Amino acid sequence: MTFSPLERRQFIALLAGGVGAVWLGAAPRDLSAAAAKAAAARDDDPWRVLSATEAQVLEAIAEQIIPSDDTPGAREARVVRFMDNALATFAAAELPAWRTGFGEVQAIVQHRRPGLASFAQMEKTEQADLLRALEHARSGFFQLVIIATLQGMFSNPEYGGNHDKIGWQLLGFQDRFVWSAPFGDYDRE
Amino acid sequence: MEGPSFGTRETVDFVVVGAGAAGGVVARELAIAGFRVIVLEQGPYLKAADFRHDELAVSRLGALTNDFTAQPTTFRENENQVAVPAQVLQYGRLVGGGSVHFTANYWRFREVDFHEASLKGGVAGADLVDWPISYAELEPYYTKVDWEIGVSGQAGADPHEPPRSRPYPMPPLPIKSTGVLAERAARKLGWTAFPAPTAIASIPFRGRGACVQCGFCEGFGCEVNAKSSTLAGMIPEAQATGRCEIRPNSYVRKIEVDARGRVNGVKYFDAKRHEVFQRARAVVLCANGAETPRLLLMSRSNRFPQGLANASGLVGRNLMFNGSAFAGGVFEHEVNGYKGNVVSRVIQDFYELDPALGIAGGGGADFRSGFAPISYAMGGLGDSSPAWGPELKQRLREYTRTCYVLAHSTSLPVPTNSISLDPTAVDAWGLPAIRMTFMNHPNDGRLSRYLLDHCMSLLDAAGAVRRWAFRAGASPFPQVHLLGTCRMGDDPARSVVDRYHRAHDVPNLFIVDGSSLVTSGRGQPTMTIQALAFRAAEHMGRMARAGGRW
Repeated sequence: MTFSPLERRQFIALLAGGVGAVWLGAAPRDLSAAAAKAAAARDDDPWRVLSATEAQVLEAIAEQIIPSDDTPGAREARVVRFMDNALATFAAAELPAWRTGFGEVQAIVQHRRPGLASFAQMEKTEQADLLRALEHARSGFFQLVIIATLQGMFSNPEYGGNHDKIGWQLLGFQDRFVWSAPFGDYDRE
Repeated sequence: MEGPSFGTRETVDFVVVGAGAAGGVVARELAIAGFRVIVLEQGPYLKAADFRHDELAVSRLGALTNDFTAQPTTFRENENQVAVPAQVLQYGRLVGGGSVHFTANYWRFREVDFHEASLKGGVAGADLVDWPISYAELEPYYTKVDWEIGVSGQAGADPHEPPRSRPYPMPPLPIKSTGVLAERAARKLGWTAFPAPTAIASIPFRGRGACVQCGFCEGFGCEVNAKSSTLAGMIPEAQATGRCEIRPNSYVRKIEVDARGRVNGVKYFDAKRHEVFQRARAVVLCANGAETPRLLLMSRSNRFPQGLANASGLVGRNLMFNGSAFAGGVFEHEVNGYKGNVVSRVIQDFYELDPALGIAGGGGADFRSGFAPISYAMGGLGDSSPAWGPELKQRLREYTRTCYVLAHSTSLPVPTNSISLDPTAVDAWGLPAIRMTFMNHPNDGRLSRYLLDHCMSLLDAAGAVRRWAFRAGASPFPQVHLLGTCRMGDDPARSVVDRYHRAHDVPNLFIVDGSSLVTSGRGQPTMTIQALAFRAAEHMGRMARAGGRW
């Protein structure tokens, strides 16, 4: 049996010459600064590094990753605010790779729907088809956005995502500091 | 709590490299015994008040562990390949080391772990040998770990428990739904789920408060000092003697030797990356199973051209991790594994296997759900889960009803599995990067697959409505149990340290950490590392008092 380093849990960290490593393993040099900025951010604040179009594209992708249905999804959890904040701080070195990714997505959009302004303007089913194609092609950019969406959804709200603890409510996770028995429904069996 | 501060020109009795699970014990024992000790730790000196429930910072961005950007590592499967950058190992990089963020499972090794080769026979392709010491010889020191580090548990609950001279000092932590499911499953399969021995205070212990069941154990620093890390216990006790200085942010690059081939101090970079030479009469390496061999190999000199203490050529070799098998299941009702201490029951009925199976080693398993939210979303759903879309959202909703069975197992020592110096990659200090060469022994893959069947059977027996396996055989990176790379033995040609942890080649150099282990045990090596550290410190003190022999 071979010992492959490409286990699921690490697949991102090893992608594309280390792109993605900051989301999984780099040091949080300015993480506290990131948190301070994000905590003070308001919904209508300007984006720190993303263009309005880029933010719309990311929001549309994130909404496909964790959709809003009978409960809120990635959009309501403001994961794009988290991504913008991350790309302005601890993930700043990755911004060029993201910009390349936006370009790749836009090229596919232009090919499939000539004249359409961006991914965000596509029909939901068209968006899903395009993302399935990216997934099939093992797109590093799409995988990065998946990781960033999950982190924005479930990290502490101080980083800009998980707004109103929407992510934690989806899981059923309650952020309390002290628990006592019974912890679950089987404790007393 | 602040200890003394020695000058760098002063020659202290011992410099200890690494303030982790082993280094904290060694420092405390030597300081209590009357020696002047400096502990050099590459990471910062944080306190409980610095730790937070912040998964992004702690788990995902590695605030408590080695920094892959500054300290790259490389990987290859065999010696014919050129290693490529990969994040292959993780260790605690702060005062307290891995004992700060570990899950605190404290399994004793058993007699079979010390004498597997003679009791069960050798294995082709593995350098499986007996330890020079027995369980009986180490038992008093396991008991010291129980009573001085602080372990909660219930003596006699494990039907296969090795002999113990004292009960646990604290009762077990409370049983959770994960533990109840473990008991239900074990009963059906004719096994026993017993209270997990855990290095977390279940009641107030030696000035520390009891666990408040916050649930943020695995990967996190304890905010109430209930986890029995060396940061919480051993290190403040060492400083309280007035004879032990903890010197954080000190990155050791070389152990120096004098004209007689005796160690006389260490060179390290301080926080400002200035090089400092600290003199000492003896040096103890407790830097972990990867950094310890790296430091020895970096300490090569004209007198020791293969690296320090490496006449045997075995420094860095026989790297072991502990294998694993992992499966998850969804249950009808709330399990809420995220609340409270991670593991409450363990099953070890397959610690030794039927010889008819033809599989060497064995393992143990626990029921848990130690996943904090981000980790669950990124790693807890299994390969069959869609990565995005409505189905992902549905799976995410199962968080509180999900429970996992994790088995740990034997990793066989293979000489070509190693830690060495990468010929080209360097860290942020310009020092050679760690290069890992590793391929599972075929037995270990078979063992993992065998145990994975047990994990799935246990989930079935517990009543899971759906369950799935994580890939067996290959353990995922990064690895955290770093074992065997400076093995202990009586024969200087076949081991790096003697039975007292003294380097065969250098009389005043000692090595005690995961690298000392001759076999991997079945999992959870920290308790054994600390028992060895208590024992080693006693012998170091004895030899130092004998005087002038260095």
